[in-house]
Amino acid sequence: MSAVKVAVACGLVALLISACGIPPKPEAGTPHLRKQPGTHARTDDPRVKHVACLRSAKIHFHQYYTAEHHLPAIQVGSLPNGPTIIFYPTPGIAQGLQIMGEEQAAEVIGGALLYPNKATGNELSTIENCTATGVTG
Amino acid sequence: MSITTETTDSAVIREYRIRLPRWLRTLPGWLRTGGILLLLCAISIWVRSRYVGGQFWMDEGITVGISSHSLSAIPGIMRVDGSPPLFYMLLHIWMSWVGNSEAATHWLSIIFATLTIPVSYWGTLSFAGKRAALSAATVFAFNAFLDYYSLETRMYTLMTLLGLLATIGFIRGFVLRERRYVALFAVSQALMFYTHNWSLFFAAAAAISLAILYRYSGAEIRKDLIRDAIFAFVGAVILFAPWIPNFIYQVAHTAAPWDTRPRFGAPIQIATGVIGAASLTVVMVVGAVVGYSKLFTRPHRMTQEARIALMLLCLGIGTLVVAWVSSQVVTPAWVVRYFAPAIPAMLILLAIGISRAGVVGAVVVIFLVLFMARPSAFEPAYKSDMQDLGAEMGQLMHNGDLVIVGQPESTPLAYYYLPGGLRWANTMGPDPHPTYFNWVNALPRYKAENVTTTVDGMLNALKPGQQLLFIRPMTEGALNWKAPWTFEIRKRSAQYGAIIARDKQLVQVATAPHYYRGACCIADSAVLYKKVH
Repeated sequence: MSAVKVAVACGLVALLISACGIPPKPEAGTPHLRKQPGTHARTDDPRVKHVACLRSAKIHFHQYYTAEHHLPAIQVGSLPNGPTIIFYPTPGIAQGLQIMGEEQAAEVIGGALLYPNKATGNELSTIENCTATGVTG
Repeated sequence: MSITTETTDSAVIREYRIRLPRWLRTLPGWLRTGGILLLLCAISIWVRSRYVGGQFWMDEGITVGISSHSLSAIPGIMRVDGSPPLFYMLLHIWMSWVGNSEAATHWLSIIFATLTIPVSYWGTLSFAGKRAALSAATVFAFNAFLDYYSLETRMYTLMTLLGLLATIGFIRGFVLRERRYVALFAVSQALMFYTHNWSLFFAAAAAISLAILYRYSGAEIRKDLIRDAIFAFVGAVILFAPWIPNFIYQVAHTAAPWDTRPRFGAPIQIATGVIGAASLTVVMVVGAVVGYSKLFTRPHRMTQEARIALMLLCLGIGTLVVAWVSSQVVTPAWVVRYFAPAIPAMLILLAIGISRAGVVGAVVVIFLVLFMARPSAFEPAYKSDMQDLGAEMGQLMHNGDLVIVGQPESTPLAYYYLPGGLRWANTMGPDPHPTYFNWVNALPRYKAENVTTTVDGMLNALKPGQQLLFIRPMTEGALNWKAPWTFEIRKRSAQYGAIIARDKQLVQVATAPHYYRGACCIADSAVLYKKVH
């Protein structure tokens, strides 16, 4: 076997054994961690499908996180008129809050609490439908 | 399809023949068959790859963690993991080429699943004809078990492929007495030994099947059968010999303390987990019984076709029966995903029967395809929320922060999704090897751990400003937490949670997940603390 073939064979074996195709993980504390190569973690944001629905309905809104508990939320239009949608981790938590006498001004839709505020009937109906996207039962 | 050249000889079963367009009839047979197989593979790949980028769960985290080590290190790790090394070594090589993302590693499982389609055609063609071979290829292309485990970075589709080769080797080698296929059986059996421990149950079922074959066969099959059988099994054991010391060590020191003994729900598990649904199973079994009906008549009872059907039944059901009994009397090892080696024999048995059922069989195949060719039908349930926990918590953590995982064997999964530079522990204490779990005497070690001393030691070692992430399993479902191991985990997580929560040096910084959609397997919640003084 020629020296070139031996070198190629050795290189291939080294490639097999070294697992050099696996990118290393970024270190904790690296800025913009989720955009770094080697990161597999992805946030599961409950708003994605609802946002798409609101956009297709041409409704003006912005997304934010609540100050308390850092919950994903959507503000339609602006307060005090526009409805607010706050997404809780599970439908059970959203329902439980209402059962225990809290959040009486909200509608429970899936895992979300929708506060109608002073929205008009038509607008609220569209927003309710969008909030119900993907909700079963 | 004009490929249906054979006819059944039963007067009851009405044969059918589909006329192909002229241009298709002018093509050579091999091209038409190849085209059908390619089409089946393409549809199957399309169905199985719809959710190829889905998140890992615990077992996949362990698999990728182990396979990330060097090839030379993997056997040593497997010794304490409790599994054989073949799939992990193949995955290591695969990951070195394509990376270790969820999609990249799932593709390896999809490839093994796809290979079962042409292999089942090739194998069945030799002992049941073209119609049965196409039926088998279709059944393998539209199978729920293969659909589901194509999207798991585990060895189950490889095990199904090897089980298929071993089944073909068995039928051709021992029933048809094409003796060179005895070697195929032996090599496939050896590779199965290196892939998953349920191969032992398959080997036992094969041995029992051989005894039955010997008992109910004539001299032409009996001739040299025992010698060939010894050659096959001894050959497989010789090929497996390098791993036998590790295997003996694993049997003595590792087990599945997380599993419980199976009861009598196995037929339901097979119907839903292997075929896809009880209704589909009933339809396929009825179709197969119609096809095999002539074998119940006296002239056909001892024919070669009957012997093949009997052997397929013995291999498939026999593997499950041996595993079920072993799970009662030795140690529990009964989960649907382990059924892989038994599945090929059962599917080929059904496929041949359906292909002999005339119009009824054609209807069954159409029903099967329509039922299974929907990506959403077998969309893998959301497997775990660790991907989300990793994203939510990873961005808040810094080098040197400590992660404590409530379920020790979930540590590799958390390690996969969290950034580098962290220190690792679980509810057994500090964990210097977060990419795998040491199952050696795990339960006694777990029970012997002094919880207060261990947790206090870890908390006192934290410096002010450093953070502690406590990840614990969600244990609301009762069934999953009844086994000795999981029972201990649920209790231990609560004990750790209590000690951490009442520590005055720690303040809560964040919790996750903020959105939990449920998980098929095991999900976790996490709390991030910071040491303030």
